[in-house]
Amino acid sequence: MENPKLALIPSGYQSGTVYSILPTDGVGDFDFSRNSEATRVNKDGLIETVNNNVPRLDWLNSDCPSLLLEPQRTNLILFSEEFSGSNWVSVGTSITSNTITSPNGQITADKLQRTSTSACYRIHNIYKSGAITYTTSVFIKKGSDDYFSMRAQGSYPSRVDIRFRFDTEQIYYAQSTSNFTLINSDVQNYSNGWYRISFTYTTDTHSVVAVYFSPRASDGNIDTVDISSNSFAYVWGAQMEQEIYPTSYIKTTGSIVTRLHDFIDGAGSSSLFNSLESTFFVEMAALVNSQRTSNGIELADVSGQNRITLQYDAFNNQIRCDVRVSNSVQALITTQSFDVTNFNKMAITYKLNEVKFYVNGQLISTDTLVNTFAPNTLTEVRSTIAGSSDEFINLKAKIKDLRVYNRALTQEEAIELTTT
Amino acid sequence: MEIKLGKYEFKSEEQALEKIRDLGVDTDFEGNEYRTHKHAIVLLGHIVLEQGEYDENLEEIKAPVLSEKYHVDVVWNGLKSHPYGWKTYSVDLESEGMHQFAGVSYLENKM
Repeated sequence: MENPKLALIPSGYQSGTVYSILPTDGVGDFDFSRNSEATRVNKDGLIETVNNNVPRLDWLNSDCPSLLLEPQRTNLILFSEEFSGSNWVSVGTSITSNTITSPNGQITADKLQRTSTSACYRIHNIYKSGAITYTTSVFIKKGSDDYFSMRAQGSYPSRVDIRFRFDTEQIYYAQSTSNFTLINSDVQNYSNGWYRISFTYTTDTHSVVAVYFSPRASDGNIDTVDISSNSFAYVWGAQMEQEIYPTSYIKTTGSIVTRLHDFIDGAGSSSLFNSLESTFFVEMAALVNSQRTSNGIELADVSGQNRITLQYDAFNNQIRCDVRVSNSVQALITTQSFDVTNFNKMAITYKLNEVKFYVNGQLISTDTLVNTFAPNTLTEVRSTIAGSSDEFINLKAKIKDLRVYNRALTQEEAIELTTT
Repeated sequence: MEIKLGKYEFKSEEQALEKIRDLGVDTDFEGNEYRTHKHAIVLLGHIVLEQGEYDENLEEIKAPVLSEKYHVDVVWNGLKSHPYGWKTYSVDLESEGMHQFAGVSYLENKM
């Protein structure tokens, strides 16, 4: 198989640019924008802040980096690293500030310790209006004992309780009560003994929601009696986002903070691509199984009226192959057979009278392409649908590999290319 | 592209959403609305001016004092002045305020 005309394997970057491996003259480089700072996990496994417009090559739990493209998010916790900050309320706990090395490599993690066997926890209140879906997350590391309990609560008994065990590295109990609904929970291993625990839930309509953190030596919710009066754990990086999944860490120091969305575009030119037939290949993982709004990546013209789109949808695990000429749908193929949060290898091949969509070595379907694009129509690859700048339909994913070939690969070639 | 930050106090959520809508929306072939502008908007709502007090069951002992205004923070992309109809509702703070964009100073970049 010949080399692709455009190839991006995220490796080289500078502020405002993600370099493509091919072509070598810079025509295939992506313009990158994000109008705020953001964090990533670097090659050493540490959380690192990068400046505005610097692309994030993220190494979380991987030997090779992926280009991280996230939506705008706000951390509603006022002191994300200072659990003795003014908005944290203590019931039977003590905080020793800056005790050990945190996930960012600095000695900024706090020791959270209970002071009695009765209910002991640290609380942070968030004011709100109506029932809202939040994702709460926090980094924790084992201290004296094996258990760590969390809660989000509205008007008692409406709440969600989460219990994590360090030895098994699992959330072994997750339960919603009364007018709270638990949506999901997750554990990410950040190495060096640090775990990021997250849980997503919809609240009741009470005017405040409180999050609680409690180290324990025995199984139980945050407000039940423990066998230890001095059990402790290390905590860092609390985050509360008004959405259905957690995103990268956003530091706060007394005010709520918003990270803005990432966006890539401008890779390629009309002379680089063959608009009459082509293969568009991407290996990427969505940030969540079910998108709030459709989002994707496309090979298209400036207007977005002519485009080949790989798209995630609001339906669970749905991937869509969408080919349009003058905004008229020429081919539409969908599949829900894959976990979209895994890295999937996807390819669309097209030529006159034929569009084929492949995922992970499987031909999903073939469709008829009645009209193909006029010569020199397709001009760039970008992380959005229909050329829109709306951050809601910008791609929310991690990209490991992206290629454009100037011919429709054969079925055998496309299967080989997309086989994992 | 140069950015500017703005902080706004609207009379109500409805008024804020109407102003935001006026910045530009379109509808795709499936009837879904999407924004056509490149600005970043954060809806802060009726912000808390004074904290409330709650008992252990989170029942309210003393209600928080909320702003009567509906607050919105914006990162303007490529604009040098407030869009039409926004200036009236802008506020000029001498601090960064209760909300920040990560690594972007309001005081150094305010409209």
